[in-house]
Amino acid sequence: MPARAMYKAELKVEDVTIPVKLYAAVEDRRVHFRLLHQEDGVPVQQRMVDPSTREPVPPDEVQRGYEAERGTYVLISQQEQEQLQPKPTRTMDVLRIVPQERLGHQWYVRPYYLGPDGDAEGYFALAQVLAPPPKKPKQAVEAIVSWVMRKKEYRGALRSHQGYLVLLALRHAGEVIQAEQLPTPGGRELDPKEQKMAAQLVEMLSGPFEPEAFQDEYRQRLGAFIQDKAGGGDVLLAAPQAKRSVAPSLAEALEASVKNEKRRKVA
Amino acid sequence: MPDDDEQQTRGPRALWSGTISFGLVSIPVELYPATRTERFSLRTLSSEGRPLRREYFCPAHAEPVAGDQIVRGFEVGDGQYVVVTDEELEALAPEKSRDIDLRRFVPRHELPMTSFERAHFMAPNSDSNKAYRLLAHTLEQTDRVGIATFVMRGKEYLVAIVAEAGLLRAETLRFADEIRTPDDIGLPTPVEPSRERVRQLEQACQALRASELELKELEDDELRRAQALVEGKFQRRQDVIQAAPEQTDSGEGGAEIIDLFEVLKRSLQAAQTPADESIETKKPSAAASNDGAPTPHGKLRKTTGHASTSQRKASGSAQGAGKERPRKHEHSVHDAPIEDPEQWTKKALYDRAQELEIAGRSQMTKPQLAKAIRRASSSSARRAG
Repeated sequence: MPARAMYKAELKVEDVTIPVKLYAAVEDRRVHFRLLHQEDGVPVQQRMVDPSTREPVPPDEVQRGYEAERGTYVLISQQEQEQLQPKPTRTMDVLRIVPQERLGHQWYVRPYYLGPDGDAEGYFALAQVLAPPPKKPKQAVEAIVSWVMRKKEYRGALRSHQGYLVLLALRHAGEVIQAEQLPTPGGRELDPKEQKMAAQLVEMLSGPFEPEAFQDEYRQRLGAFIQDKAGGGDVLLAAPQAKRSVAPSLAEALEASVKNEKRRKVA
Repeated sequence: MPDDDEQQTRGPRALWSGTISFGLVSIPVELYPATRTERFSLRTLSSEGRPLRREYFCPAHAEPVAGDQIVRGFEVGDGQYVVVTDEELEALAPEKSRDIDLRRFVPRHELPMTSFERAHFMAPNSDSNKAYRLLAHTLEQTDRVGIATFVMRGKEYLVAIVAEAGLLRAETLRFADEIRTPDDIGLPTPVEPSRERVRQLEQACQALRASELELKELEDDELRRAQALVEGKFQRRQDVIQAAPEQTDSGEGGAEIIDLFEVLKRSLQAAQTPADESIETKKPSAAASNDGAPTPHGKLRKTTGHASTSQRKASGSAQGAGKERPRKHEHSVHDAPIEDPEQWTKKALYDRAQELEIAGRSQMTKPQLAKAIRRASSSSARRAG
């Protein structure tokens, strides 16, 4: 069954407009708990109380303020809060198109898929245009876009992926550390022999990316535990064991590692 | 301006410390977030301007509920929950690990963009940064990333170790079953567009082509508008109120907030060329730390307590004494705390309680939090031992 779109927008590329639908690309598989009152198992709720009177404050008497200095607040009215919100609009503007390498992974917040909303031809034409030339992945580009959704301004990177358009919501510039300004660990030049062995070791341990090989085992254990408990089963939890290991010198370690890998491959 | 006595530092700390292993090579590192969160958050206040506090209450009894009366439950049926206690959660948690074991290296471009969750910088955490530099160099030369799983803050993560410009990053990845495919979503099968439409879009895209980003386009305009509004009103003394003086709950007041960038810079600078590699170092010697003067890094760790400077010095030197290296203590902040939780501020206690996922923490008083933390820490220390 097709997923429901989260949002609908009008993607604007210069003078061309393509209606699109936005879908979440992430499936939330986490185990979510509710906080319950132990006595009766009723889910607890939250409310705001005045610490001096310990009395709850009804929502219409609550003010909101920004703490400009310690203990000093600037009140912001409901009207002002609403004025601060971005104007609702369905437009998703392409600001510029740049090589994909410009933004490192630390910029990514959340992925979405875009799907066509009536103009399939326009959608797939864009997906085609944004796709990198065959066999030249390094020439891939992405479109920097801005849009408004649920009263918030977003920035994103739009890319072509397997014939479709994927949108990565991005962090704002102020949130990302400019890595170029960080000092790089420095020291004596690396020993060429060690470099060679390290490259060799990486080579031996190299392979394709197989994401299915990894699973969230904690989540699975937790899920199984809960099921067991729900079924009234007696659940035993063993205390996990800690492992310890001691490392030799760097050169010795590299050499031994390469030897180990060679032996493994032969076996 | 607050008194020096009450000065505390508040800022990001290493999220995790441990080693990266590949083969038998062991690289001690510390993990820091690679991003900071900028939020314009408003405090709720009463009509008299008193900062309000959040409270849990039971709708059935219409009464507030204290922390120790709250349990966490998983909904298995309509109104039916299975309770999972702190101890059970702790026992199910992956074994505490200080190691990122790199068993597999994959070409960098093979990682789908939809996998990336959160990035962390890694700083070398040892007298010698040679192994760190070697790994970074090798990864960059071979254009590969290392794949591993590791445990941080009680959770197990799939992580890619990436090198860029000589720095290593640990980027947590989503598990395969957390990522949807176009098929999962039900996107339509592609249609072949007409040449006309393709040309139209090629032209449009060409007009927008640029070789570089313009970071200004990625700034948070909303945040700036909000800050400008507040700034203007503050200067005009418009709608400004003072909260009652006893309010210690509202932030840690006067704390010198150290930005993440500064923390990273200091940590990386301290990891420069150690003394035994022939180039001079700025790193403070072991002797210096023993007289109680905290190293920059050590100072950042002490996000604790209204403790006066003399008290802090005492605990600082207890930390430094008997250790060969000034700032690298063997435990991360996630093991049993070296300093007594009783001396921590409410915020530090709360943060720690959050890491340990202690239920009902927002309802607990300082002593309750300290007790819960000590309980959680000692049980985990026993297990790790």
